[in-house]
Amino acid sequence: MTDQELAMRLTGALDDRIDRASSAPVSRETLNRMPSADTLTTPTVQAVPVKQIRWKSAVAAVLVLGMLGGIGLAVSKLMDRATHPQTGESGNSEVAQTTAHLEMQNTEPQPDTDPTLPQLSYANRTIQITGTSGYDRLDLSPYLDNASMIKVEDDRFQFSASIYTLRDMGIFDDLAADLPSCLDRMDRSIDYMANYFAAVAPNEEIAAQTRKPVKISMDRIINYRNYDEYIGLSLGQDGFYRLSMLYAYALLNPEDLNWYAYGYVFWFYHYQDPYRFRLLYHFLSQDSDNPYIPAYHRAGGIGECTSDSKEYTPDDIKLLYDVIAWYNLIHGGDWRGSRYAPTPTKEFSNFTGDPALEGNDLCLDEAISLINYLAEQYGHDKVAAYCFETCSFEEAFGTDFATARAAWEQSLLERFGDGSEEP
Amino acid sequence: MTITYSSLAEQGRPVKLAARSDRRERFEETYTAYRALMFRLARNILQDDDLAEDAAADAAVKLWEHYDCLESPTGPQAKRFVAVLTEHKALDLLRKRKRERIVSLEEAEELHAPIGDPDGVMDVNAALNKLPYEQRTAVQLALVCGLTAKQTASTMGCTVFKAEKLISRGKAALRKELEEGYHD
Repeated sequence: MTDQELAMRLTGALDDRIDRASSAPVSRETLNRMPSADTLTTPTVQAVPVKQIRWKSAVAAVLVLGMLGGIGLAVSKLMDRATHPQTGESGNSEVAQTTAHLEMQNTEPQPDTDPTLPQLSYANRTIQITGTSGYDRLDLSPYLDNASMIKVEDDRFQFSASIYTLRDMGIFDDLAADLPSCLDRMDRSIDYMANYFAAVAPNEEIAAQTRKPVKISMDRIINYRNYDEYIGLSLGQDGFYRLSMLYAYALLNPEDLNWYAYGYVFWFYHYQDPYRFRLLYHFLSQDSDNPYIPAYHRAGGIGECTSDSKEYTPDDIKLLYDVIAWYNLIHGGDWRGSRYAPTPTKEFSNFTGDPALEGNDLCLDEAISLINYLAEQYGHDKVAAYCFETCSFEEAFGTDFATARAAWEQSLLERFGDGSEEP
Repeated sequence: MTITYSSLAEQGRPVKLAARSDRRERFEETYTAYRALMFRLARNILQDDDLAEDAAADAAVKLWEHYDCLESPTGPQAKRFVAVLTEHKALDLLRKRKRERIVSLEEAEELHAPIGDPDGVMDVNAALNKLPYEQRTAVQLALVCGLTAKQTASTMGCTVFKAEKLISRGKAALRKELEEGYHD
C-alpha cells in the first residue's frame, strides 16, 4: 500500500468520524462554557506550562500583563494577609515583624525582576505572586482560574499553582500563612527522596536522575514526566500527598507497569518518605465489610483507621500491609464484590506488563508487603536494582521469585498464625 | 506552550507584530466554525461532557499555537487538522485519566472507556485504535493534514527525529493491519 493510498484511507476514515460526530447535539450552554477566541489568544502567565517556564519569559509576560491591567486587587489582598496573617489587617507593622516564616522581601530589585512585582519570601526561596485582577472577583471558569498564580522557584525545586486551587483544596486555614510550611515540607520531601534514591541507585545513570530539578504543578491532571532536564510532577488539585508517589514513578519511569513498579512506588510512599503529606486510606474505613481492620487490631495495630495519618507510625503502616497480605493469604482474597476485594495488578487498567510474569497476580497491598520484605531481607539497594530493571530477580536477590515469595508467605504465617485461632 | 512573543522568539520563530491581529482574526474564524465539532469529537472518545470540554479547550490552545499549519481558516484541511488535534488531546486525557485512577487505586477495574471510534465498524478506524495514540496523531498529521515532519514534531511537542519515527512506525503498523485485514 503506497503512502498515497494510506493517506486516502485515513482521510476517508477521519472524514467519516467527523461526519458522524457532526450529527451529535451540542447545547448552546456547552458552547458558551468553552473558552472564547479572545481568551485563547490573550497572553497569560498561566499559559506557561511548568515544563516551559523560563524566568525571563515569565517576567516578560507579567510586564505585559502589568501594562495591560495592573497586578490587581488579589495581590494586594494576599500580600496584606501574608504580611499580617494573624490579624488579616494591613498596616500593623508589629504583627508583620512577628511573622517568622513569611515576610515581605525588601531587598533591592534583582536585574531580571520587575520591581513592581510583589514577592514574598520564606527561607531562601521566593514566592512570586502574579495576576491580572482580583482573585475574589474573577470568574471561576476553569480557563481563567490560573489568572492568579503562586510560583516558587530556585535551581532545585519549582512549584506553581493557582491561588484558586490552593484555596479551594480546603486544607489551608490561611493560605498566605500556611503555604510556606507546606512548601518547606515539599522541599524536604524532595531532598529526602533524591538522597534516598541516589544512595540506592544501581548505576550512575539512575543516580543522575535524582539531581534533576523538580517542577511541581497542581493541574487538573495527575501525571509525571521525566524529561532530560528536569522531572515534572502534576499533583492534581486535591492535595499534596501524591508527591512522593509521582516522584518515585518519574524516577522509575517504567517501560511497562508490573507488580514491582506499583509495589515499589507505593512502598516508597508509605514506608520511606517521612515528609509525605498523608496516607492513602481507601481501605481504612471502619465499614462493616472491611475485612482487614479487625485483623489489623488483633495483630496489635493501634491505628484508629481514620483518614488522619498522624495516627500511624511507620511500624503501624508496615503491620497494616503485612496483615492485609496475610489475611489474603489465609482467606484467598476471595471476597469479590466487596470494595475491599484485592485486585491483581495484572487487572489494573493501566497494566502494561506481562500477565504471565510471576508476581503480577499480587494485589497492590501484597506487592507493597513483599517489596518491604525483600528490602528488609536483602537490602534496599537490591530492591532498587530489580525495580529499576537493571537486573533480573535472581540476579538481584540470588534466588528465584517463587522461593522468595514462599519465604515471605511463610514469614507472614509465622508472625500472624495460620488463621486457625482467628475468632 | 505560552502565547507570548517572547516564547515565540525563544523558539526561533520570527515575530511578526503586524501579522498579529490578522492571525487572531483568522483563528477566531476557524475556532468559531469548528469548536462544536471539537467538543463532539472529544465527547465521542471520552464519553463525558466535562472532560470533553477540557479536551476541546486544550485542543483549541494547541490550534492557536500551531495555527500557521493551516492553509486557510476553514476548509477540509483546517477541519481535519482541528479534528486530529482534538482526538489527540482527548486520547491524551483519557490515558492520563487512567493513570490518575490507578494512582488513586479506586475502581481500577471499571476503567474501560472506549478509545477512538466507538462503533469500530471501519477497518481503518479499528486499525487506528490499535496504534499508540502518539503514532496515531503523527501519522494523521503527516498523511491527512499534509504536515511536514518538522511541523508534526512542533505540533506534538517532540523532536523531529521522534516525529519521523512515530510516522514511520505508525504507517508500518497501519499497513500491516490493513493489508492483513482486521479481525477482532
